Amino acid sequence: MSAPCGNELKAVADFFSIQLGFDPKSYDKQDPFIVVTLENEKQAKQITSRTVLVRSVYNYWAEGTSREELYQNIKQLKDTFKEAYCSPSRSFKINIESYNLKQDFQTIPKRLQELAEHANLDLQGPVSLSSPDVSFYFLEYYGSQGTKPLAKKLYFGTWVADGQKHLVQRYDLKKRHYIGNTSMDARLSLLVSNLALAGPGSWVLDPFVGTGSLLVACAHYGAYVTGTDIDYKIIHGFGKSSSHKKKFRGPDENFLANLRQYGLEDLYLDVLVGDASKHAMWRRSSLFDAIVTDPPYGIREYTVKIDSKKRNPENKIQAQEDEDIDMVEKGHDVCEKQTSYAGSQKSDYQLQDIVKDLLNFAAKFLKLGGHLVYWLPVYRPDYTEEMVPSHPCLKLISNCEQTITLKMSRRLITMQKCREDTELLDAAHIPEMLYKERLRDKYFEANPENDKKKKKKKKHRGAGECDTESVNQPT
Amino acid sequence: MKLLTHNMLTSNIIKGVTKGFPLQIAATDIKVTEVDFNPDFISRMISKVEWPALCEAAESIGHLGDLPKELDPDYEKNEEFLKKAHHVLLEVEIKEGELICPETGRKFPVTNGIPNMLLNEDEVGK
Repeated sequence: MSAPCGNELKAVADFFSIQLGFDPKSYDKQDPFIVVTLENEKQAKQITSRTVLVRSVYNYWAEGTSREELYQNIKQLKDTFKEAYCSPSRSFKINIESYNLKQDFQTIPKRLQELAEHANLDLQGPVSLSSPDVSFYFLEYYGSQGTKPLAKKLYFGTWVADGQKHLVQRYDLKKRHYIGNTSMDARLSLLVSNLALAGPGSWVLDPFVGTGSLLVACAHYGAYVTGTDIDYKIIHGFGKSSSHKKKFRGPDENFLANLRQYGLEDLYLDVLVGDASKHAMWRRSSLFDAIVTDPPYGIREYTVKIDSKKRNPENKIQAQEDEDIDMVEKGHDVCEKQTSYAGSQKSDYQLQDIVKDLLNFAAKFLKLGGHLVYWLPVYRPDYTEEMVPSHPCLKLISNCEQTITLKMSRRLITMQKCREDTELLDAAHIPEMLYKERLRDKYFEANPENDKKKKKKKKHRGAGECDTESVNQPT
Repeated sequence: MKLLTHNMLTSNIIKGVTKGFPLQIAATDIKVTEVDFNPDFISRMISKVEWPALCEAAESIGHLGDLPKELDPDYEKNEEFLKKAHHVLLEVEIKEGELICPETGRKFPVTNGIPNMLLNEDEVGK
């Protein structure tokens, strides 16, 4: 039960208005199992209908720190409770889910015998491995440090339902029609959608939509999705492709095609080429039920906005953009007028300003009670909880970490709009310490190898933020 | 671009523009696609939409159909009405054309159904 998993569980319970009974004192953070109280099995099934990190839910029978203690506790359960599961008419199977200690199949018949001898649990029904009426589970946790002979915590129960882990395969980026350099991994996108409480008929916006990987996951849960991005090329599918063995993006490479791939195109509510810093583009406040985003960090995607400043020939970003445009024009038939909008006048948009604009935007355009879920990249050695940006209209709900390298990580921040106040629309506070030096500089300083490699390549947009080798899944 | 999105957009981002709404539509290609009907969502959207502007936009591109210009006060219970609103809000799409700022006449191109709301640096307001 890691932090993101607990946060997902809480968010999903919240989504279904389920009161989750849970004692925070009773559990060890390393322990992958957690005991919670629910009213009925239906609630358990509702929860697992959405979770990707909660793997399974079992009906709790007993626990113990040794096998003897566990059997004693099973013995003490009321017969009326046990009878329903153990009657001769019900087929069953027994499984062992063991964490950090390997168990072989031969232990199962042994356990069955022990259950009868020490726990007075006589299972009379026929055994069925393929479709049992009841699946009994031994859930065993052996501590996080290697194989210890004695279990730390043993649980016994019956299986109720499995979570949505299989969705990670279904939405795998490797099979995605259109991806970009920073497309978000399927598991993380689904997690973001759960934290955002995206559901049937809600409206979710991503102001830095890119190829729309976060929104595909939101649409999976039934949300209508809208995205904006300043990058004309990524929205329209022009320019260099991020896909393996493919030079240029094709004419059908866009966010709508990604939704269509999964039969979710009915939930498409437009993408726009637009500048996320220009809030006045939207007519009214309280528009969206949720805002989810992975803003550009200035490492693998440029951080730009449109400014009224004069164009600066020394501006490196500008030069790079121009180069990109040249390439686009050579590679594709692009209308001249369009590229002139896309390529000119962009100025550097500092990460702290991006986050500040994002929080102010959320405070205005979220409905009351709506959620903002975003990724905040941080330099790990300097990070403290006080550095998390705040806004008087937004309440911090959760904050979990995904480490990228030893020194860099990104934090998945969930905030809820708790107040509607037109006086406080620009009140976002970004602690100065957060980005006192540019994150980009810190990143390359922390990874000199990386820097060398990149310089050599003279990259256009760099490698993926989700480089498989550098990502540790927070499960 | 769907008319629901159109109803939420302004050109208020341009220097000197005060309202920037509704944007006029000059469409060269309009497509009607069938979209699943979700009455709850449509009801909620109607409460956010500026109804006269929606009717005006639909009419200007010849897709008003029989959508009433007056908002039924009991629209939430009127499924017939919600279906008509659903059609105009989500099924009628501007594929190619321009959105025009009502105050300055500045044009925002719509290509392949995607509006481009970017400005040049000398046009950017606050």
